[in-house]
Amino acid sequence: MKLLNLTINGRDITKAVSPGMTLLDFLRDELNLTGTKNGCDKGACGCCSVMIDGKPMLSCLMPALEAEGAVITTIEGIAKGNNLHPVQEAMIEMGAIQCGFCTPAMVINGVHMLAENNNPGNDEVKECISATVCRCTGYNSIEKAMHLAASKMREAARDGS
Amino acid sequence: MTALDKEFDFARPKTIEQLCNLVRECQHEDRHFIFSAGATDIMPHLKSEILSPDIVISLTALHALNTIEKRGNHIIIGTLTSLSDLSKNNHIQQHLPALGGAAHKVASPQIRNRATIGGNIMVENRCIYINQSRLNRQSHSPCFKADGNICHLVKSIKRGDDILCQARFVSDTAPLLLLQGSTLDIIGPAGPREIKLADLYLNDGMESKSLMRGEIITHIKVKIPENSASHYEKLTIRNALDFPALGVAVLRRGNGDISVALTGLNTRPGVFHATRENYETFDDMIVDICQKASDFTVTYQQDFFPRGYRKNMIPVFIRRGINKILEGAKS
Repeated sequence: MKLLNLTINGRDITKAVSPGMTLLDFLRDELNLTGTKNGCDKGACGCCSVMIDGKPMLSCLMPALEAEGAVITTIEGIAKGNNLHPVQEAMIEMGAIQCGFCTPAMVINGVHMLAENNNPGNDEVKECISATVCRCTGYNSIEKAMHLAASKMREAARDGS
Repeated sequence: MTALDKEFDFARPKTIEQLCNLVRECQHEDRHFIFSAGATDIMPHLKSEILSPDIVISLTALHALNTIEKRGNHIIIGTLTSLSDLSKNNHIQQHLPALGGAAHKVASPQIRNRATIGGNIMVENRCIYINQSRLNRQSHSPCFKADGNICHLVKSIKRGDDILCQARFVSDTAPLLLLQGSTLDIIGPAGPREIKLADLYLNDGMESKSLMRGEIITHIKVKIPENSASHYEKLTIRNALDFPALGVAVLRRGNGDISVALTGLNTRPGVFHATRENYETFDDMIVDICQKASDFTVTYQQDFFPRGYRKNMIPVFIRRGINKILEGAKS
């Protein structure tokens, strides 16, 4: 076992972990942050996406010990209290959350995309959601949700300025 | 719970000196070690127990290798640079845009944020028989790469000079780097050395790289191309995630010479050159280089695409690459 220090959703955490533990298992089993899903467990479905130092990455392909000193945001850290992020609101409004299994990863990736560019084109949105496998909602409504979230964020930016 | 079944130790040296000392220690104690950078290729291998090391040595704390610099007429790429940083880097966009494009075609956005350029040129060769779950692999005899004595592709039970492991080379970035004549800075317990990227790749899918045990690549040196343009085209079922069933990089020099590098087909990348002055017409040259590239054997069926289709797509991709380059030159 080795000590791991990191920040998750704004909380500093120190815990002993075994070298064979993935970041995904650490989040789900040690911290009970089960919003991050375990789909294929080999980097093919994208469902385990979390934000590591501001960029979405696959937690199933990362040894937990690699996250030493990292700042991590999981789906549990996206909303501010009861205020959902515009991507979360848009996913609900567009009915893009049918079974919900891919939703945390879709939201994480969408939040990152829109933080970089709140006026993405179709190709950018498609690329953003391309690497997360959705087997029931279908990608059209998720794509629409991303565009709706983008327009919400542009509106908020206009109102704020 | 999906933690890796087999326990191993984990180390994250912060300097090259610490790394070399650790490697020497492991070699002295006869501990099986592997290096990990982004870990996106290593982790599935560990989970399916294709790799069972005593210790995983992470290179991610060697921050000095996470840089891209322009020195004179060379771009020096630190091998820990992530593929997404590479494709967005100003030097790369200005001087090696096709390389940035190829890096952008690797896997998915999440993987590119983690995977490194060093890991991509060192990516383990793949085969439909070895890159499977442990349960799947147990359903057939262990192949050469699993310390067995059969190749299910060749249908042979004797490993030798003629019959080597046929796991195929799948790096997306190596073909363009090869065409640019890149060189590699290498460091290991025996000291530093420099080799051409072309000398890194061997013909055996099992031992497909010429690095000595304990060595790592620290930098890739790419000469800034003058008066030339290149393009990379990739055949996959999906735009995201897939390794190339076929990858074709094309380079056109100012004097009209054409070079082509192939990936995804064979145990090593294939590189072909055609000199303009040796051909009467430009089209003769293209026909000839397409023929040479197509003869680069697509030996065995180890992809979703039929091997005949992959082979037929080689000239299509070469011509497509040349057309893109010519279109770019016009605009």
